[in-house]
Amino acid sequence: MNNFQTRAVVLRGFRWTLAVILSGSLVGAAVAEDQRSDYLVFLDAAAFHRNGAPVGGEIKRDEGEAKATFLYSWQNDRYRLFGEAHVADEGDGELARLQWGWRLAPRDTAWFGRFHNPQGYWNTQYHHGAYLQTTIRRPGIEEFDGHEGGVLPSHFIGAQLDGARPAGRDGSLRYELGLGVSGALDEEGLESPLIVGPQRSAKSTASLRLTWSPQEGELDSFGVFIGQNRIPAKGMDFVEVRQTVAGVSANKVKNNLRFLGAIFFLRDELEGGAMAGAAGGFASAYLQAEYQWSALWTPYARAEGSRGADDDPYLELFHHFAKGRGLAGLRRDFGRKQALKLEYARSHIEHGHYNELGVQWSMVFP
Amino acid sequence: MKRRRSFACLMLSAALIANIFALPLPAAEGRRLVLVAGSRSDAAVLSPEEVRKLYLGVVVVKDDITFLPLCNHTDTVAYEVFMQKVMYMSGPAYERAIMTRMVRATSSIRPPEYTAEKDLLQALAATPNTVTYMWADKAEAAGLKIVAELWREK
Repeated sequence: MNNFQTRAVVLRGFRWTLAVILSGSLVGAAVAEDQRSDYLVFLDAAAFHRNGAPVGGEIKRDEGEAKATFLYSWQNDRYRLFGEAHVADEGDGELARLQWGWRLAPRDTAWFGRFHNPQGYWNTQYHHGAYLQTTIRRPGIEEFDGHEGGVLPSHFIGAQLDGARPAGRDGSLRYELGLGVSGALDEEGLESPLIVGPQRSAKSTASLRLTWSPQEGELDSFGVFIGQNRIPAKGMDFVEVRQTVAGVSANKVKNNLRFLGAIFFLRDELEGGAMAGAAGGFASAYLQAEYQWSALWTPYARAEGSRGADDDPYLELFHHFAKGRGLAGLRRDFGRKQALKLEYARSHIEHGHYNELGVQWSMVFP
Repeated sequence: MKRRRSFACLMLSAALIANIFALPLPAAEGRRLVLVAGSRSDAAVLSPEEVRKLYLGVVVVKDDITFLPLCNHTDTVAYEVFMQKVMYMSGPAYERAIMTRMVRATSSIRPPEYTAEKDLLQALAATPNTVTYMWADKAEAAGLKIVAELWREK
């Protein structure tokens, strides 16, 4: 049995173990007194028109997409269960998250399952909830892996310990420590490990994120994160990428203005095969400003940039990665939890610049 | 004579109207929004900051009691006052904030919403650690335990 098969067996074993634990927790649920559950359904549909040098080849001129996400949460005083299923019109569907948690203390939980990768800000804050994020586009550095061309694994399977401690007069320090296995790389791009369905090889990942909120529960927060991903490669000139990620994030609200941003530092080392020893690193950052003009109208803008992006052999594999991007847009909330967004973006990728005009409708129920 | 009487009537009416406006309205006299729990609850007193945290999805534990918040949608004015004077945000902004917390799984359950007063009172009575907000006069009439005063009309 080779290395690839061994890891596939380990992952399959983990999935069965998780299934047994989950079924046990649901049996427990039936007898627990204080149990509560909740769900959310996110729907969104978007259309894009693009022009510019790379358009027509790798990037489609006109594109439409529709997505749906179902989120379910259950808890009693000891256990927590969290699930998120996501489907898109191009046939993509995944169990984005399936987490079983054991409450160690009222504010500390040990989780097992499939998680959002806490290496960053946007990925865990909004993920598939298009209605929750003010913009249509995610920042390039926090783009989903898979078809979207993200360079960081969006999910991992394993264990996570999270919780919060009082910090300051009314503040809190939240911690998230994640350990498990994350993405694998092939010619199609980076793909997170799946809980259900065919499994690709996966190797270890470790992450730690600390977030300080001066007023617990409020939007204002300042975070620092660090992580390491071992990404196995298949059909490439190398067999593994050792990726180290570190960065900071901030989210600040002042009256009707909101600023949010993050800075990432990545170091990628290729191991094995013809490209063994190749290494490089780059920095990427984004800053977004939103103005709550009224309860219904929110104009916004975002600038994204990177440094050293041409010197990283791993990043060269991601032709659509936005090395730089400027975008501006307008969000209009209407009805019961619905939003319409109009957004213009100019992106700089490996093969040149292109312009994009997008419109998106999104909603959440209930 | 008729003219003099109608002038006196006019002046009297004006004086009465002015007097009505000069007096404080009975309804406006110290109307209070309070946080309440069921009558048998041992819930400790919560500060407005703790109430705000609780409704933003933060786990609030006091005297070994983990509080569970309920959203009172039975009175539109009380809800609006609670949002503006306690949460300092609009209703839609509040809903987005707690949904974002749910997506992050930091606080996996949003406060349950009640649109019928009977159901709300039943929920408060059934679970001792649940709390909600309502006008003080309603709370007193229903025999509920007042845990904190959240806002007083001036």
